[in-house]
Amino acid sequence: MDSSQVLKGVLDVAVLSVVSDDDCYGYELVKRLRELGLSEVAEASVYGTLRRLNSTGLLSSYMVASEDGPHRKYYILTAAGKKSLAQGLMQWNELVTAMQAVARIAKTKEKKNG
Amino acid sequence: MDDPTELEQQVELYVARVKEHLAGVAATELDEMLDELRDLLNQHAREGGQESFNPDALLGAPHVYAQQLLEACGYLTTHIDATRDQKSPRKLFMNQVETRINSQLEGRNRLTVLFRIVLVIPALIFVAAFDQTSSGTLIGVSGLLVLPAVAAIVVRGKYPSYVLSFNRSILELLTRFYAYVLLLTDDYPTIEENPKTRVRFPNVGDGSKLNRLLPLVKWFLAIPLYFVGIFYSIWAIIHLVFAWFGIVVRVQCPQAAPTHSPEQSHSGTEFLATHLSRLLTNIHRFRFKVPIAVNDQLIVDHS
Repeated sequence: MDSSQVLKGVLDVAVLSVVSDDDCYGYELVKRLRELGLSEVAEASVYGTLRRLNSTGLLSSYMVASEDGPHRKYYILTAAGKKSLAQGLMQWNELVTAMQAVARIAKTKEKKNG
Repeated sequence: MDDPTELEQQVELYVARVKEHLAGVAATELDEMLDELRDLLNQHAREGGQESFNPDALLGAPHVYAQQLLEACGYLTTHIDATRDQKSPRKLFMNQVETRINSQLEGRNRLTVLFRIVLVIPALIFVAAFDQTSSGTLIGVSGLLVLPAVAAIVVRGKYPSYVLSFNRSILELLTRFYAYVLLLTDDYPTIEENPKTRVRFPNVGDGSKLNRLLPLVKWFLAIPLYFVGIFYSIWAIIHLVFAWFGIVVRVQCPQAAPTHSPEQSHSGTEFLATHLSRLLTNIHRFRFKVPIAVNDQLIVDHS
């Protein structure tokens, strides 16, 4: 299974979910996603996703001065983002439930075959 | 690397190389993207230490970074979305044969590329046995695979499932074969599925979703595609020669001229792979004479 393709499909939800916990900027978000187990997530994908979600109104942003570099853009979840996150999580849960059922078929078959 | 100016130079060099692949992005957004990239690189340098700082190792090659960024921003699918506004997304997908090739641009196996013309012979013999345009099997295989399907679709509106499965498998095998011959991958073509070279077919059910009259005129409608195919074949052969020398000499596909639109911003080495892959998509148009393909969609991944 190509895990990078799976990751692409769920990255929006993952980003919205982490931002819903606390406002954060790009690099911070990458680190948090990796700490949560999405170790293969690419920086460019996260930065691009943030920009897209921001332009579609699911995230808004504000600038914060940084001591060790240029101003940083912090992202915050909007009302539309909260709604989208809820829908995304619901779809994810449905998918997980369906895949668990599919996996059970394979396990049952394995057991039968010894 | 203790010199901060050297670090800055490395950062700016990487940023400039990424910028080359972001042609077409609006100036304001481009500036923001590049500022974020500078900040990202500086944070990596602070956390990982300047001595081991290597942007390419941290973020990937600049063209890869740019492609991932544009893809995540939605730039690389803009043209598809625009079409989706006019048609139902579901209908668009249903009519597509999608060729996805994860082309290998760097770290190539120089030895198998050098001797590819010899290595490919066993696969060629296998493929030729089923290839509808192979001179020796033209009549037999076409008669076996095409005519029964045409008759079944026209008369009954059904596509025999065993023929459909076989045609799909053959097209997938041919895609892997051409990807190998055209040096897009080092994976030897086999009948087993390979995630690096995939063909996704529209859901035609039992054939009832297909137009029953099109099989009678498809050969005629395909005539312009034959000419396109000839052009692509010549184009691909020229690039193939460059690719062969590039890999054998430099272990990577050679660079080509950059393109100037966001949709095509995967320039340079990808340019070559894109054109080689486009040939494969056109080949599907020829091969799948039985009307499963209304349109073909090409997707090229680069790793």
